[in-house]
Amino acid sequence: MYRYDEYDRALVNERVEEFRDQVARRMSGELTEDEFLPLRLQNGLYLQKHAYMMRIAIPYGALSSDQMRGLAFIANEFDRGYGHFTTRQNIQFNWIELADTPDILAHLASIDMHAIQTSGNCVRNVTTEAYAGVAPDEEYDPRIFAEIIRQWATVNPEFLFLPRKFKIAVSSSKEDRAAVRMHDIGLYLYRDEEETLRFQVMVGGGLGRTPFLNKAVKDDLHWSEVLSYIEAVLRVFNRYGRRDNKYKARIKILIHSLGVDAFREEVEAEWLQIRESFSTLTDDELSRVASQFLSPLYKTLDDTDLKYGNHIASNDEFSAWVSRSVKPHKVSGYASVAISTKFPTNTPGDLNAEQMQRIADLADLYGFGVIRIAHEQNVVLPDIPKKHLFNVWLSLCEVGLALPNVGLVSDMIVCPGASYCNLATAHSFPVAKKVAEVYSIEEQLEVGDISINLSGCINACAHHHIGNIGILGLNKSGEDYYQITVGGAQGKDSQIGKVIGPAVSEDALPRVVKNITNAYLANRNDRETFHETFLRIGLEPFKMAAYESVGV
Amino acid sequence: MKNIIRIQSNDMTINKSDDWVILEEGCDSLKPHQILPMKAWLARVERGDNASSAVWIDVDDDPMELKGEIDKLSFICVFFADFKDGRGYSTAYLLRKRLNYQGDLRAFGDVLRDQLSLMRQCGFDSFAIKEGKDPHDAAKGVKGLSVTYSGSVSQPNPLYKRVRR
Repeated sequence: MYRYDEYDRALVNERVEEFRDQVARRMSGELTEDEFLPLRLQNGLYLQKHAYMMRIAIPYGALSSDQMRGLAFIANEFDRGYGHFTTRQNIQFNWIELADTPDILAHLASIDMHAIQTSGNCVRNVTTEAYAGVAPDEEYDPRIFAEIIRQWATVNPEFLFLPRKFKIAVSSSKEDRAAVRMHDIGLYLYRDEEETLRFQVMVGGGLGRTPFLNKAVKDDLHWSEVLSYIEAVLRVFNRYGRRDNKYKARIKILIHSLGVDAFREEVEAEWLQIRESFSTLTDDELSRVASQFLSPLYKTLDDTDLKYGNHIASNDEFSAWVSRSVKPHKVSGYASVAISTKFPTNTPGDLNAEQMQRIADLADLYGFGVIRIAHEQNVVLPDIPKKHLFNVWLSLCEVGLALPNVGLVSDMIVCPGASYCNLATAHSFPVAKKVAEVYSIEEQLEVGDISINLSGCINACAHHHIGNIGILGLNKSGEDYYQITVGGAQGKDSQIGKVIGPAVSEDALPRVVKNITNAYLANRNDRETFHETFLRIGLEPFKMAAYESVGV
Repeated sequence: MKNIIRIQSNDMTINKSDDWVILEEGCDSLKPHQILPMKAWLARVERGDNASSAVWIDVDDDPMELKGEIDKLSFICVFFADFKDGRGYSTAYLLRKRLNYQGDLRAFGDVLRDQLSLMRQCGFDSFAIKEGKDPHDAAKGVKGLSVTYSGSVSQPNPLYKRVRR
């Protein structure tokens, strides 16, 4: 994984001292809140309902065991003993004091971490998938370019006061597990017939109140030109994006109003001016960054392990967990482990300090000390020898992290909602819990893989539009109500879900969701996924079934 | 103009004011040190009037309209109506890199200490700090971080081409 050199370290340390000075000036009244606001946002600090919230960057979701222990330390020392992992592979702490923030950032800097540009109208954390580097269907490790782009975007002076936030994701595998299509810039990295690395560049995705999937603007960008192309997109956005209305300021709106062809022409014209420029990537730089992501020294192992097989055969609970949590690995004898952070034992995305420490210990004991955060808010141990899986499971059981529900109904993506967030119009966590509770694990297994996403407001932090079942919290004359969409999907065939009808009350929601999954069970052919069934039969049967035996 | 920080080579000078005056509108008889709005200046150039060598660019002006006339200018001011509106950074970039403007480039308006190093990297070499702020205090913001990853106007090479990492 990427290790800081003296330059990375100097930048992060100086940034901490810069922010320490800014916080002091804010606290003395020298800086007004209006002047301080973008400074604190670009250092990860939001002001929420109860306290400041600090969002810490986990670039492309990759953490070392020491970094995870550092997060546990922050949870204990500066928060209330836990943290919340987000869909963009970051972590948020919810109970932060302003005066503590410079020390928190200094602690992060000491473990090669930061909170730079995790908020604000700038380029945010560059994301990819949790299985980067170990997925069998991968063409090229997407973290390498995610890191190159991260560095280019970090404190890039021209692009820190954009019209609105700007999110970039990279994927380079058959299956897109990084929700690339809903990003401002989505990058699919592939090898052409000559084995040259190229990008398909898609621009203008984003959810929120006007959801759009991004649109292809360039199909065959040479890898060495990715920075100049992103620069061209950002310059066009910075100059022409709307600034009069926060809700119309994302690049998706600019593209929608210009039309994708006119937008592409603008970008190409700008790009031609800077194409042969200083930002052309060199082979040396690619090799330098790539060398940081070399695979760990895997042992030569048989793909089947007798003891592991015996445990599966003799222990039903272990076997149930394996079937949901153990993922294929490109190296024989190894597997990746997805650790569910979800209901009923946990709050989606939340881990307490003890759980963080346990995961760090397991990573050190069995998995080369590496950890990933998944878009689904789960934690992944990417490199575990199969022969150790049983011990990993036993250890996870002790800290309530061995839930066999990865990919199932109760593995919902959920934002913090009205419990913490002052943008939220409705609660998320308690409601998601109620939905999870109306399913037994057997019923969940019967439904199989499904994505359910619940956002507490229109800003769509839980990406409800691209959930197979999307749930959006609204406020109807003081009561929490939930609007439901069906047919959303992420991945290469991403789709925005369709609203099924009137929003339902908190009490009715679990029944309605169950009606929808029942409609799927009643209609599915053989091994069809929820989305395949939806594509075949359309919205109507779900709409018909949803409100059965609930008043609207 | 007031609260002026100027950077020449690596020297910084701070003055309470200088002789320059921003004109809100165009005018017929131009006095020395008056700075015309870009559109008014371009109109004078088109009419063949003596047009002075100073303009200021508003937030939604397209600096590329100065193409072909840029050699007539030795002083350009870029207006920041709100420090959170980052268009002025791209304006500075385009003036310096696309139009190869070599003269003085000043940021004015909502210009604050914590953005000065960014502005400097985008090619500004003087600042009229927001009225009511102390320019000596603001000058502490010029230096910025010692490490930058990307290239910029003031440092065209990205870090990986500047140093051996």
